[in-house]
Amino acid sequence: MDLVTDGDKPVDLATETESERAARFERDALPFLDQLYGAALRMARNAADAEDVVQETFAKAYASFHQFTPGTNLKAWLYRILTNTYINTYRKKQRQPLLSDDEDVEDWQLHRAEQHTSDGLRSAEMEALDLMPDSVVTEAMNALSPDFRMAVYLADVEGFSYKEIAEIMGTPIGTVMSRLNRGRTQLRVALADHARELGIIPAEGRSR
Amino acid sequence: MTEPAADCAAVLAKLAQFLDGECAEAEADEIRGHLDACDRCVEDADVALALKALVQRCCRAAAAPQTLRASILTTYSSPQRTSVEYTEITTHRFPPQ
Repeated sequence: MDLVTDGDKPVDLATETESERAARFERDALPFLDQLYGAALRMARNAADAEDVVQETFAKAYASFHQFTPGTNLKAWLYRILTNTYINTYRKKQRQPLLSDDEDVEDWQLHRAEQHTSDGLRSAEMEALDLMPDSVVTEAMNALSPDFRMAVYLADVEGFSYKEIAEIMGTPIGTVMSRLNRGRTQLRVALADHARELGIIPAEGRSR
Repeated sequence: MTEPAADCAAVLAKLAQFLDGECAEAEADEIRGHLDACDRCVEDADVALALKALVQRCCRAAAAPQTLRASILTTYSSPQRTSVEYTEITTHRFPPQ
C-alpha cells in the first residue's frame, strides 16, 4: 500500500508560505479526517470525545506540519499524533489504566497461539456471526483494553503493517504482535460467548 | 491425511503474521505448503480471516460530522497560529531514520 503523499512537485519547507502550507495541509492531511474520526471513535468510545480528539489532532498536526518530511508516511504520522493526543488527555481524564493486564510482559511469544482454537468458534459458525448486528462486534471491541483495541483496529480496519503500528503506538513490534494476538483472542472468545447466548452456535462447544 | 502436531504448532505460531502479510516469502511458502495438507490449520486460518473481515466490516470508519470538518477548516486557515506549544510531538522524524 502506497501511503506516500508528496504531491506533484517537491516542497521547499524553508520558503513555503503560510497559505501554501495551509493548501498543502488541506490537500494531503484533510482527506484522512473520516479515517481519523473512525479511529478516535473507537478509542474514545463516544462521539463527543472523539470529535475533541480529532479537532486537537488536526490543530497539532497543522502546527507541526512544517516538521513533517514530505514524501514520508503522512497517514502514520497523523495516527501517531492522534494516539498521543488521546493518551495524553482522554485516557488520563477517564482514568483508564495506561497498561493492560500483564502488559509489561514484552515477550509476545508467551501469548502466541500454538494450539488449535478450542472455543468452538469454527469457520461455519463465523458465517453465522455475520448475521449479528455491527453493534455486537463494536461492543466486543469496546470491551477490550485500550491498547488491545487500538492494535486490532489499526491492523484489521486500517490495514497498517506491524512496523507502522509499532511507530504509531510507540512500542516494539513484539508488543504489537502480543497486543494483536491477545486482543483478537479475547474478541473471538467474547463473540463466541455472545453467539452461544443468542443460540447461533451450540452451547456445548465451549471447551476452555 | 497426516497432521503432524509439531508442524501445526509451528504454523499456528506464525499464522497471524502470515495472514497479516508479515511473513517473508520463504516462510509464507512453508505455511502455504502446510495449509495445503492440514484441514485443521486451514479452519483456524478461516476463523482468523473471518474475524478480521468482521472487525473490518463493523468498525469501518464513520463519516466525520460536518460540524467537525468545518471547525477544523477554521483552525488551520487562521494565519497567526504558532507551533511552539506542539513541538514535543515531532522532535523526531517520522518514520525514524
